[in-house]
Amino acid sequence: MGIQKRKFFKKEIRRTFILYALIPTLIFAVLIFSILFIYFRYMIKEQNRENNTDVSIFLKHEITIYKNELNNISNSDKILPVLEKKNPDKSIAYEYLYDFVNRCKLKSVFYIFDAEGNTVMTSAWRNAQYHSNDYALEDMIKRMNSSPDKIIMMLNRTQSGLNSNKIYSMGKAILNRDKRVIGYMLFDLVADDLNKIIYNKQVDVLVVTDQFDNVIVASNNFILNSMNKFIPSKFNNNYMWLNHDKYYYYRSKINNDTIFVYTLSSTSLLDKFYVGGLIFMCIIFLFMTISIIIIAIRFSESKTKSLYKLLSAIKRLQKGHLNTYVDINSNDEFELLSDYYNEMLVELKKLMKQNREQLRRSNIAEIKQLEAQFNPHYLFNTFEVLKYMIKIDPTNAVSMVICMSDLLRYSINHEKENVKLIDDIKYIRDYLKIQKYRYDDKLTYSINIDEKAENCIVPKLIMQPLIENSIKYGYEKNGSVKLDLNIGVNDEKLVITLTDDGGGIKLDKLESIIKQLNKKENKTTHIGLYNIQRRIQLTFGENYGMYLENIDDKGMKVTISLPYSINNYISSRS
Amino acid sequence: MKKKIICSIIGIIIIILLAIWLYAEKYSSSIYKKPISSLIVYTPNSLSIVDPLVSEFENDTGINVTVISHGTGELLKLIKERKYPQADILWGGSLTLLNAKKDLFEKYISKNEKYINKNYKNSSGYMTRFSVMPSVIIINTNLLGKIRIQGFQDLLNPKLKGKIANANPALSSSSFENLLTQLYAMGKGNPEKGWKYEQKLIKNLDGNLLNNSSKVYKGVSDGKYTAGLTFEEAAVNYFKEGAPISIIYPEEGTIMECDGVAIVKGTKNKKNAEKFVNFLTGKNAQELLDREFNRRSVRNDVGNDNSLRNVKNIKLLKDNEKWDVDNKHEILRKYKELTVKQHKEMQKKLSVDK
Repeated sequence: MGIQKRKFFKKEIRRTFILYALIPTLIFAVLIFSILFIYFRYMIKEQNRENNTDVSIFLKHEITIYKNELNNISNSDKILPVLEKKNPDKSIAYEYLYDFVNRCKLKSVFYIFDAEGNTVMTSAWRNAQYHSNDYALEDMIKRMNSSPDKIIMMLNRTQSGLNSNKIYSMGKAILNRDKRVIGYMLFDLVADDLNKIIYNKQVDVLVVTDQFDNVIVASNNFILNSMNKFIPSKFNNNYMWLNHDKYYYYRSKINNDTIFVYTLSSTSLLDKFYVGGLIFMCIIFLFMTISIIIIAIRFSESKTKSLYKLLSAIKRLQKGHLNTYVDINSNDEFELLSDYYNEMLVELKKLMKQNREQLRRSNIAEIKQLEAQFNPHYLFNTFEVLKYMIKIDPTNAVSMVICMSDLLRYSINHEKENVKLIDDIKYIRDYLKIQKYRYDDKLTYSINIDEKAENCIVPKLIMQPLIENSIKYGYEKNGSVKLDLNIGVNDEKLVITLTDDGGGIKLDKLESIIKQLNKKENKTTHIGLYNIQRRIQLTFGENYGMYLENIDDKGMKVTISLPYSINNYISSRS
Repeated sequence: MKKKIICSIIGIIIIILLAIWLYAEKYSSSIYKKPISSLIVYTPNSLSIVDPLVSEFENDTGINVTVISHGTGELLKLIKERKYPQADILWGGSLTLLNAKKDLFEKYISKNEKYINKNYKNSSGYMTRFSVMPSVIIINTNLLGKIRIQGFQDLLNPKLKGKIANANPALSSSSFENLLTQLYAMGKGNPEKGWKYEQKLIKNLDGNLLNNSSKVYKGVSDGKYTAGLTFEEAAVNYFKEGAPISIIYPEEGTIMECDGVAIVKGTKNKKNAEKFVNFLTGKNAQELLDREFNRRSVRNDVGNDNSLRNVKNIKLLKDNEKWDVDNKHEILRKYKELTVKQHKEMQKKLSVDK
C-alpha cells in the first residue's frame, strides 16, 4: 500500500509539471517563434516593396525630366540656332545643356545630330563618341525620323574595350518652325551611373529591365543569362527562383510598361533560420523536458520520503512500538505533521501510563476488596468454635482468643501485604491450631516446607482459604480430614501443594469449578477459591495461579504456583 | 537543492557573458590588424600612379608595402601625431608644404642624386624630388566659345565670372602651388606684388571655392566650369581619356614645382625606406612616370613624352623656395582674408538687391 501510494504521488507531480509548466511553455514558445517568423517575412516583403517603390518613383521622375526636356527642345532658342546658322556659337547651347545634365540626378551624355546623322554637339569624351556608321545610332535615327513627334527610348549595348556598356538612349527629332526635321537630340543614360544611385538600397537583388527582359541595370551579374536577359528559372506571383535560391520579389512598371523594376529579397536565409530555430527549440525542449522530469522525480521523492516516514511510523505504532518518533526536517507541512505526530505520541504514552496507573489502582482496590472478604467469613467460623470452647474448655478458649486476635491483627494489618513465607506460616499454624480446637482429632495435618522456600515472599494468608475449604468439604464428606501441606521451589516458582483425603469432587463439577475460577466475575458460591485465584492472577498475571485435581477417589490436590522472589514483589504486571 | 539551482544559474550566466565577451573581443580585434608589411607609405598620389609603382617595387625587392592615402595636409597631421600605423615614407605633396615640416623627416641623399637635374637637387638633404608638376589652366573646349584664355590675366574676363574652378589652397597642395605661381607670375617675379591680381581673381570666382583638387578637373571636364586652376598631370590624364578639354600653360609663366619623397623621422624600417626612395628615383620608375603617368621626370636622362609640352615651349618662372616656406602661413591667411571679404561683399550686395 505504501509503495503504491508513492508511485501515484510522483506520477501526479510529474504530470502536473508537464501539463502545466512544460507544455504551455512549449506551445507559447512555438507560437511566439512562428509569429516572429511570419512578422519577419512580412517585414521583408514590406521593405522590398518600399524599396521597389523608391526606385521606380525615382526612375519615373528622372525619365520624366528628360522627356520634358526632349519635348521642349524644338522650342528652345538656344538649341535651334546651332542647327540652323552657318557658324553658330555653340558655347551657349553647351552651357545650357551642360547645366541641364549636371542638374539631373541621372547623368547622361547628350548629343545633337544634324539631319544627316552627323554629330554637331556632344558632351561625350572623344573616345566614347558614336561613329556615324554605328548600327545603334543608325537605328535610333531611323526611328526618330519615322516618328518625329515621338520620344524614342531604347536600350543599346556598345563595346568599349573589354567592357560591354549598357546605354539607355532617349531621343527625339528636332523640328524647325515648319515642322521639318532638322536634327535629332539624344540623351544617353549610362547604366553604370544608374547603378551607383540605385545600389544603396537594402534588397538582395535589383534589376531594371526593358519590355523585352533586357537588363538595363542589375545589382548582380550572375542572374543574367547568356543573352543578358533577366529570365528566372521558375516564378509565380510572389516568388522566383534564381540559381536554386528562392526570392520574394516585387515588380513595378514605369514609362508605359516599357521599363520594369524588380526587387528581390532572399527568403532562403529566413527559411533556414526558421527550420534551424525550430530544431534548436526542439532540442532545448527535449533537454528541458528531461531536466524537468528529473527535477519532478527528485522533488516528489523528497516529499514522499516524508510521507513514507510518517506512514511507516504509524504502522509501527499500530504494532505497539510506542517509541517510534518521526524525524522530518523538510521545513514544510510534512515537518509540521511529524511534529504533531510526535506530540500525539507523547500524549498517547502519557494517557496509556495513566490508564495503566488507573487499572493498577483499581486492581489493588479489587484485591483489597477481595481481601476484605476474608475477614467476616473467618470470624464467623471462629466464633462458632469459640462458642463451644468457652463452655467446654475455658483455658484453651482464652489461648484461642489470643491466637485469633493475633491472627486477625495480622490479617487486618494493611501495611504488610506480602510477607516472608516463614513468617506467614506461623499464622497458618495458628489458624490450624484454632481449627484443631474445633475439630480435635478429626483433623490431622502435616506441614512441610522446603528450606529454599522459607525466605520466599508470598501474599499474606494466601493459603488460608484453601485450607478452610479442604477442611470443610473433607469433614462434610467423611467426618474427618487429613491435610498435607507441602511448599517447595520448582523452576523459579514457589509451589504450594495441599492434599486432602476428602474423597475428591466429581469430575464434571471439578471442571466447572476450574472454569469458573478463571472468569473475571465470581458467579459461584466458591468464594474462597475464586478469591485466591483472582488475587494471584491480578497480582502476578496469568502465568501463576491455582490448579485443582483429584487424587483417584481418595481426595483432592490443590496446587498454587507463585513467583519465587526473596525481595518485595516488583509489579510484574507492568 | 535550492543552492544547486542558484549555483547552476549563476554558472550559466557567467558562461554566456564569457561567450559574448570572447565573441566581441574576436570581432573587435579583427578590425585592428597588425600590418605584416615591412614598409608603410603615406601618399596623396592617386591610385593610378601608386598601384603600378608599388607593385613593381614589391616584386623587385620582395618588401611588403602598405599604402595609406589621404590629402597631403591630412597625412602630415597623421605623421605628426604618430598615428597608427606609423609612416616610414611620405611620398608626394608639394615641396613647399613638405619643407615647412622638415622636422618630421630624416636626411637622406638617394643614390640616384647624381642623375637628378640640377634644378631639382635635394639641396636640404631632406627632400628627394620625385616628379615635376607645373601648374596649368584647364578649359572645357565646348564651353569656351569665343573667349580667349591664354594666361592668368584672361581669367579676369567678366564673362568667366562664377565659371572658374579653383580649390581651397589651404586644403589642396596643387591649388596652393597654383596660387604661388599666380603670385609670382602676376607679381612679375615678386610674389608680394601679385596680391592685387589675386584679389580680382577671387572676385571673379564669385564665391566658388572647391574643397578638393579632383573637383577642379572633373568639374571642367563635365562642363560644370569653363576653366579651372590645376596641375599638369590631372589635366593631361583627362585629356588623354578623351575629355573635351585643353591645357593652357599660362603665358605669364609657370613654376616647375616638384613633389618630394621623404623618410619619416624615427622610422623602424630605415633600410626599406631608403630602398624605396632609390627605386622612385631610379630610371625604370622615372621612365614609367614619363611614359604612362603624364608626369615629368626629375632625371636628366629621361626625356619628355610627346604628350607633354616640351619645356622649351613653356615660360618658366623661378621661385624662392625659402620665401615660399617662410610665408606659407601668411599666404594662406591672406587668401582666406580676401575670400571672407569677398563673401561679405557678396552678402551685402544680395541684401541691397532685395
